[in-house]
Amino acid sequence: MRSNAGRMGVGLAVGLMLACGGAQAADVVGVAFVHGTGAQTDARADYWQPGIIDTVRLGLPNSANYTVINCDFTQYMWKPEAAGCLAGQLTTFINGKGITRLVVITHSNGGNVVRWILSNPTYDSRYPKIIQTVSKVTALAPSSAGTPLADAVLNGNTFETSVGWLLGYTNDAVRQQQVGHMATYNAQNLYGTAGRPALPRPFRAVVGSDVESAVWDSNSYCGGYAQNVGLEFTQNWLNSCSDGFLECSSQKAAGTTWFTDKQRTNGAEPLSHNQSRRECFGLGTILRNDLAL
Amino acid sequence: MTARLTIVVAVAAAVLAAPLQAAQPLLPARSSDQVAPRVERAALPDEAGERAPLSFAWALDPTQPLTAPAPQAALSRSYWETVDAAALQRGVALPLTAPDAVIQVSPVQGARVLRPEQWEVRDPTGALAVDRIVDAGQLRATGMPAGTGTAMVRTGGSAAVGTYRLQSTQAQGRYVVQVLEPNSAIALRLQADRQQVLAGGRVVVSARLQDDGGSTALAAGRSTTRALPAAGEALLVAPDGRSWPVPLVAGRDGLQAQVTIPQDVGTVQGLWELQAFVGARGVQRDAKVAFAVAQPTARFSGQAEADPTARAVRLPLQIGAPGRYEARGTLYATGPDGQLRPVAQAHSAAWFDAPGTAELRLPFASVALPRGYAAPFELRDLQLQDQSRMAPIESRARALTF
Repeated sequence: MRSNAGRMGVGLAVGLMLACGGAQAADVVGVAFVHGTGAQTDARADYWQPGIIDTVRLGLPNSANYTVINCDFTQYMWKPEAAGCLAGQLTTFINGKGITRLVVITHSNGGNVVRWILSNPTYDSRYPKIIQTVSKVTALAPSSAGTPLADAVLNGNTFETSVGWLLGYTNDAVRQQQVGHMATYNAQNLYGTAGRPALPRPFRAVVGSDVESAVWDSNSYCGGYAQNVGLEFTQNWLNSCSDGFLECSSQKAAGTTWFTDKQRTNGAEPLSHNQSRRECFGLGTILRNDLAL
Repeated sequence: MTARLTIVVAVAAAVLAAPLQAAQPLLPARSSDQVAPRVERAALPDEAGERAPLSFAWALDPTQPLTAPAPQAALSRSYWETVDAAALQRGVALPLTAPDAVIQVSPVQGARVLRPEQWEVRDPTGALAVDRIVDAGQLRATGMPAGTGTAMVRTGGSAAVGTYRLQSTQAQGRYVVQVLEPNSAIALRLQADRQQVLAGGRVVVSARLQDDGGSTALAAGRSTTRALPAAGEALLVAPDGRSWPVPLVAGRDGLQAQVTIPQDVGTVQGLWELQAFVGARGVQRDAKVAFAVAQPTARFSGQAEADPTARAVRLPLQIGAPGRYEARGTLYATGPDGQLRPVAQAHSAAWFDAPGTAELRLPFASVALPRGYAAPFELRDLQLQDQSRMAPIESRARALTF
């Protein structure tokens, strides 16, 4: 038999060794913003909003060294449209800008797609260089252990030959983020959760712990009042510590917890799932200051 | 303090030059291991994937012990059912065991989409029991991809316990009704005995209806769990939507499903589910667990060659179907205290065009050993993945000592 690319020995072997030290003066630092579930074509405007991106990138030595990812994260994390697209855009960014030290900022399910790349370095020949270049992942409200809301969307969506899926086909990213599914992916395909090998790069979560949507409270309007009203309702489907979409335990399930919202936000305000991707309560400044570390 | 990364890139051919020890058998498989007894042919999926051989290794902190995660235990305080328009026009009985439930209604494809105000929920006394209601648009604004016409109702903290009625005289078609009782003391616990299985294999799933005092008591560690007599049924669901009923049989500690996986596992990627539906004296609960199913398209031959000097392991394979296969494993080294601890993780993958024999090589040498760590080594958590079909074929908790 024949291996298509030749014998085993021809492959690229890459090893990483961690040693103490700081960012080198010659480093070219870049930051990539990776959105959550959804198919994005203008994530800067539609998913993040420019405020937080422009605040964060001011922390770069060259504020032009940033990229906002636009991929189809309605797919399973390993699919060409998801991790494949992300790998392509990160590779183009790294090569085009000569980035040697990349900070990746993800939101929600974007953390899972990045964790797929970090956990599966031999799945795609672009992954090793990306992993080598990443200095850390800042995962804003990552859905590392899924969400009961994904289960709520899919419960009862059985397949009947005459009808198809009763509630219509729900995208694979939602299937993936069901709690039981993420437990299995975490045990088999992903690293960084309890008892599993560590990821090859730091993965630090920012945890949103509550939702405020009082009509008289101006803080409830940051990121969009209507979104926060909905998130306060969906909190009913979750346990007592949640950002309205994800339980805190899910956000903390992989990597390490950098901080839980109230520990660092202005006024000790909580970050709802909508606010953790917006310029709310000083989040952008916290992320900006972290770029230099 | 920040971390500085030192990257070592080496051509694997250089590693290949190192001598390997004579072949030795892999350690005997444990009952929790998954070993493919044979290999099978299979079609290649449309997305062929990467063709280049790749290896990658990174250091692990030996002070951080690794433990194989147990299969997830689902704990559910909710249930769902599909109801038709006639039942909804009369009013569907919804048993509630605790105040402040959440009810979600979603129209099946073709059913009439109703506005939130067209739904009525009444408590056991006949009084309206809608504390708050949100529509699909508000749910979607949260990021929850609720279908058109979905509505969610909260019954309220002061509401009574008992049989509620959900009604809409405007209903037309079928609807999926879900009830979540976050404050209920009664939950269904569902757990499979494994998270991966081969086609034609068996998964045992245990289901137990229990009174655990509720989420708050559980979180506070004040819970004393008591099993409740119950009956139910289960459904095995494939990623392509096919499903098979599975009996839930009463046993000493609740209910049990013996699930036999079909030989034809289909080609749609994703996890399989066992969904359980359990009821007892006015209580309904359902839950699901997920597991991976793999066709044995390749297998480890059962032999390996290891070189403690080069810290490399050569793993002969039998290939049954063309595709890309990956071996991954954790290297344990002996520490200054004589104990084995994890020091490195390595993956290696390559594409194989045709059935036959092949090999993958796990190279750990690029990762420096922590000070004081040395041979003897052990290779643990050895896995063989079918990357083309996204399926975990083999898994061995302890594979080799060298």
